[in-house]
Amino acid sequence: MNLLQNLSLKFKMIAIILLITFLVTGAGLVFIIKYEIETSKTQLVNNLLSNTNLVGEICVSPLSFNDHTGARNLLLKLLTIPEIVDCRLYDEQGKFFTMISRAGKLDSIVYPVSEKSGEFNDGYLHITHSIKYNDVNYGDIYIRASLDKHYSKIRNYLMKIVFVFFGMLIFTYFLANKFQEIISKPILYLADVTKRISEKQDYSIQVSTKGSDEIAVLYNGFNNMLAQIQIRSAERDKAEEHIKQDLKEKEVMLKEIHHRVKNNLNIITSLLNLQAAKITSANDAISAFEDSRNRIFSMAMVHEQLYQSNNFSKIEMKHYIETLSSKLIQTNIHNKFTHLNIDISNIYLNITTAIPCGLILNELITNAFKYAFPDNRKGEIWITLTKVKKDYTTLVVKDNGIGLPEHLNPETSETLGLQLVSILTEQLEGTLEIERDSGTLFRIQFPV
Amino acid sequence: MKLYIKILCIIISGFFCKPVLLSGQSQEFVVKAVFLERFTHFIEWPENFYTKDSTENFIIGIFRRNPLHGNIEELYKCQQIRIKNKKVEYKYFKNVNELEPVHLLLIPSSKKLLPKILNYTRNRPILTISDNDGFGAKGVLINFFIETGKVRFEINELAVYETGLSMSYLLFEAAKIVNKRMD
Repeated sequence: MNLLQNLSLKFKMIAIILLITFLVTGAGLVFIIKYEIETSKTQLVNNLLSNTNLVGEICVSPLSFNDHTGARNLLLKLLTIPEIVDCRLYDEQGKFFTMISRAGKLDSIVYPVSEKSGEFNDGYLHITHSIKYNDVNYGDIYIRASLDKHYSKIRNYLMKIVFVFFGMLIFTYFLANKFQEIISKPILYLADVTKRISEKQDYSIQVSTKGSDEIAVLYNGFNNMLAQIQIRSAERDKAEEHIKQDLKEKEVMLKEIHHRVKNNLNIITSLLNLQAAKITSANDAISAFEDSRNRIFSMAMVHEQLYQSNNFSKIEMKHYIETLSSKLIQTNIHNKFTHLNIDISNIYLNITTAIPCGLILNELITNAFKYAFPDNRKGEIWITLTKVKKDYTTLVVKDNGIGLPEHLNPETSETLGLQLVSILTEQLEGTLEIERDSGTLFRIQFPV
Repeated sequence: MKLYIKILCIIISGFFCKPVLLSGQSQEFVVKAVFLERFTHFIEWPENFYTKDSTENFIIGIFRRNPLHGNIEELYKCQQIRIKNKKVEYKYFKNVNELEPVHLLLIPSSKKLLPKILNYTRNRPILTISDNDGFGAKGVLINFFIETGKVRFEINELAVYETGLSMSYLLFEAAKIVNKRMD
């Protein structure tokens, strides 16, 4: 069996067919040979026995009338049968009467009592038959037949059988070699395709299906498996690409964050420097701290929203502005009677744009809280952020307060808040428009 | 061999039986007497031909002088020989006119009487036995003769056929055939 395992499918099938043929045919031929040998033996025994019976019956006369010559003449007839070597005649008392021998020697006159009729012994067939007539026993006839011819016949028969047997095996080999292709060819083809797929890692290769037998089922299953592998491979590639992209993004983001942290700290440093220059009293210092806190908070909120969201590169501005406004309302002591109206589209801005934008909003809302509604005056603030063009966004902060003094220009203003709005608008590469009609309206348009 | 032993036994027992009677009988007679009994093994007689006695006994007819030159009656009696499983009965005839159906008739050596006797036995199932040269050819069914010192017998096949006796081919095998039947 181990030997078969290393053979190719083709030779394995041929070997199995030959083995089965050898065993089945061999067993059949052994049975036939055995049957033929037994039949041949039986035929020989019957033939000799019938001749012996016939001659034995005629020998009644010479036995009755003591005619030795007549008896020998009768026995000579048996020698016409080539197998018979000698014949002996015994009288009714078992005494030797006469005999004839092919060798011409009267070598034994002892009654062969030990020989059973039809017994094969010492290369001879021994037949003993009682001579009876009208139920009266007249003696016995014994013949000894050589089995040389019988064995020669069997040998010839065996030779023919062996020749036929090996002929059948050779014929079976040719037939098996031819017809094994019906089974092995599709399987070998499948193995070849599998090998090619394995070598080329090309799962788009398909096996061509014919018919509807088990091989066809196997082919269809194989094709389906290849298709599944292809789909999963594509999904895996896509996922890998996504992960790589994500990783790359994260790496860029990490660098960016470091860069932004540095920039933010620079901004804070600059803001603190600007504020420090304007502090002349303790109240100024307190106010400066409050302003600085809000500015840093607006910057911090950008980062907070970034790490809380799944996307580290974009800020959802609606949520950001709502949170920032809410915080400013809570922390600003001037906003007791002010109501905020926020109308923001679903706009996402990157961190570079979102932080200046947040700082601008912080400055404008804080300014509105501080200066637009003096003497606990009730008022409203509207904040809108809309996409006006394909690549432009407009931030509008409007209040219905007392309005910005006419002389006050953000670019030339000495107040830090407006200066910051102007500087940050420039940083956004945007434009700043101010309208002083029933309050103040700041419109900042910047590219995204 | 068996026959010789049997003959020897007969001779020996004969001495014990009736030494005076058997003392003059030759071995040749004994052989012929035994042959006589053996002949009956191979011959069948029709049952409806004979007298009442024949159904119970096997009848041997002896015409005048026994041709076998011996006292066959004493020999068979002494040996208690039965033929065809029947007791042997003997009938003696002195003239042809006295002849009546028997199973076996011993023919005397007279050549003059032979035609008359055969005239009676012809077409009758009577086994005629003689011991004279040429009697077989003349119509006796079985005739003894001596060949190379041994007792042999001849059978007139045609005559056998005419009697209606059923004679086994085995008997013909052992005999010399005269007057072969030409079918």
